[in-house]
Amino acid sequence: MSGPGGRSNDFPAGERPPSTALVVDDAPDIRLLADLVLTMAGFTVRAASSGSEALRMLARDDLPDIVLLDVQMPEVDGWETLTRLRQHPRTADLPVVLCTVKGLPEDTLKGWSLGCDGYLGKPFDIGALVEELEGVLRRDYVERQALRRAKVAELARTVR
Amino acid sequence: MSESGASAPVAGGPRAVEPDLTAMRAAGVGRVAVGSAIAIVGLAGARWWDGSLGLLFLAVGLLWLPWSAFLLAASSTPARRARHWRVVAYGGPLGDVLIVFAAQCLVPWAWGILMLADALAVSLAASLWRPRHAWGLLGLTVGLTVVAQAVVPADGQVAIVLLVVFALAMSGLVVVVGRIASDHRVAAVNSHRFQQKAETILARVADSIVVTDGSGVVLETNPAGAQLAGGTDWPIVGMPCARALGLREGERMLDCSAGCPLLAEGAGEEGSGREVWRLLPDGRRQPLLASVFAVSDEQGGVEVVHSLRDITRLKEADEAKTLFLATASHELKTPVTVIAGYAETILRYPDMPQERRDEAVAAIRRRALELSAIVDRLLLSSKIEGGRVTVDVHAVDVRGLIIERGNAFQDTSARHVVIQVAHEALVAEADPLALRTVVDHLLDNAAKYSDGGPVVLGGRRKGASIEVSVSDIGIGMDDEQAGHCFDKFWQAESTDVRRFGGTGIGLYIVSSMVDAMGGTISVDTAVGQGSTFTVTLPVVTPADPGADPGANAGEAPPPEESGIKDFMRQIGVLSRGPA
Repeated sequence: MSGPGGRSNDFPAGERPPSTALVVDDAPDIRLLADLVLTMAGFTVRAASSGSEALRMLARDDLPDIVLLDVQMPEVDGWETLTRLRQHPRTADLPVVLCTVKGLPEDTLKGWSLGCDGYLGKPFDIGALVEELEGVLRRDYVERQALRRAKVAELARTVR
Repeated sequence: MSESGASAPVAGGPRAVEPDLTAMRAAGVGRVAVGSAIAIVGLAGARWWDGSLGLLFLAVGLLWLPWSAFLLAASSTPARRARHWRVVAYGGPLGDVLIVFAAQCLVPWAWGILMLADALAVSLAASLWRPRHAWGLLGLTVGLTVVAQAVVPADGQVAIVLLVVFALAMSGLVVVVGRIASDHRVAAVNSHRFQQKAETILARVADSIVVTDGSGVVLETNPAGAQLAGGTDWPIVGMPCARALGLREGERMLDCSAGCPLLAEGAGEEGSGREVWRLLPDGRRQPLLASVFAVSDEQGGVEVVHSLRDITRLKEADEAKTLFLATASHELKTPVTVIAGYAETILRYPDMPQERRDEAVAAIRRRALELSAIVDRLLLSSKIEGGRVTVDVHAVDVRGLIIERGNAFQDTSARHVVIQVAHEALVAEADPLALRTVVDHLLDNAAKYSDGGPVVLGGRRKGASIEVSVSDIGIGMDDEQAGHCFDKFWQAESTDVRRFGGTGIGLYIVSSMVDAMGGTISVDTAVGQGSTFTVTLPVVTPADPGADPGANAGEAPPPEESGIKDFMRQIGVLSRGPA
């Protein structure tokens, strides 16, 4: 999914084919915030309030272009959701950006090791949110794999 | 002859652990001096005055000296002093009388022999008492002998010479024996005292002390050490350290058979205790802080002293704090995310649809209030921890408070609150503000852990107490959770899948406030069955002059309550607030 590569801070809608994002967060106001920001940036947004709901939607409906996934959620948390997505052939390559208050290097390392394609700390700058998602969408599968390996290697050194 | 001076060190015996050497020295030297003076007066009297008067003086002097000597010897240890003081005090004078008779019956030079014998007794006693002065006292003996030689008639002089030789030999012996005996006695007293002290310290210290030899075989432990190894009756002496204690570091079992691994890794150096753990019979891990050092034993071998401190509570507090930081950062960051995100959105899209803008503003306001409530709770909890919470206990209309708070909560939370309150007046001894905080927190808690169901807020009188209860039909708790739920920072769920937010200090605040008001709190719960928290407060009966059902915050407490408050301040439940 290649975007036009313009400065995302302006994110002029309509200059690229609309991407679909699935926002997964248990806090309703954060879901609404992400919905608002991403809609303004030209995304088509769907939302799920828990990991299990997201997994159901991803198994049943059309796949979105990217998933914005919170970590701390009841029952099926973000780690678990990401692990299951990567296990299933249908979603193994689906771009996933983790969006969480868990900002310690070990958390970030865990995220990249489980196979995320972007890691966004909360509280986030709304520009950074859009930029992160667009950045991930610009990379192809091989680039995303390479970034993941590089991040894991880099963070593993920090955590040691 | 006075005995008051002599009885002082004797009577003091049983209480003093150490012989009072200074007092004994003063008494002994005084007696020897006085005895010698009397003996010399007697000597002069026998030569130049009437013979029988001189002999009487002499006998007095001679009896004084052995009496002093016996006193010194008999009071050389605390036990002896306690046992012999009557013999010392009364036996001496009895001996006096016998010797006076004997002296008068003997040949004229008998007093010379008696004098020498007495001088020997003096040096014997004094040497035992203070070996350092033995040579001086021996000199006194010899001097007295020379004087005796001069005054004794010629027919007694052979006997005198024999006695001098005998006296010299005996004195030498006395000096040697006296020194040895004295050194031994002092050493024995000191080592006994030291051992007693060390044993007391080891028995009282809460740390477990385990001493092993170089190959890890347990030689001795203190009671705490024996306790650690499975109870006081469990004989671990003679067992290998690894088997007796079962210490592990990480997942590695510590094996001391080839030298203590903790010692090799420097766990004994200042402040560098190692954290180890052992498995308790119930399967829990007991964390211990181990410090180890080696001492040489009498044979030149090495003994290893292990000091193990149970740090379970420290670890729990530490883990609770870490967990708190993790949950608190989540609790604080989530509202900040919403506030900052919406504020930025409003700034960036001035022409956002009005409907979305209203949503955003409402979310900002709600999350800002939430943030403020979290900060209030943190501050209150830190105030409680610092003992700076003041409650003002007086008669409070609990019924009115329940109805007011129940309705207020129903309005703000949109949850159904069932208020079950008795019709009679419910007046309890409480602080209205603290009780309000307690009820609000319990309602909040009940709503949080029950999914939309009703919350029941009840109030009733039970005997001499007023009970306020808050029930929900939520997830409930198991026994272990119920046991911990009033702990600071504790939460029923503490992983990333937690369903409920919060910092884990709400119930801690509640129970601290209830404590401060002199009430009690309990919880009745089961998994899936919901929870009922019950606060019990002392009742104020309507007959009480202080009872005023309308009493509420800000009113001065009636004088009857001031006694209770003073008492609570005394026991530290209340900090001293403005009067």
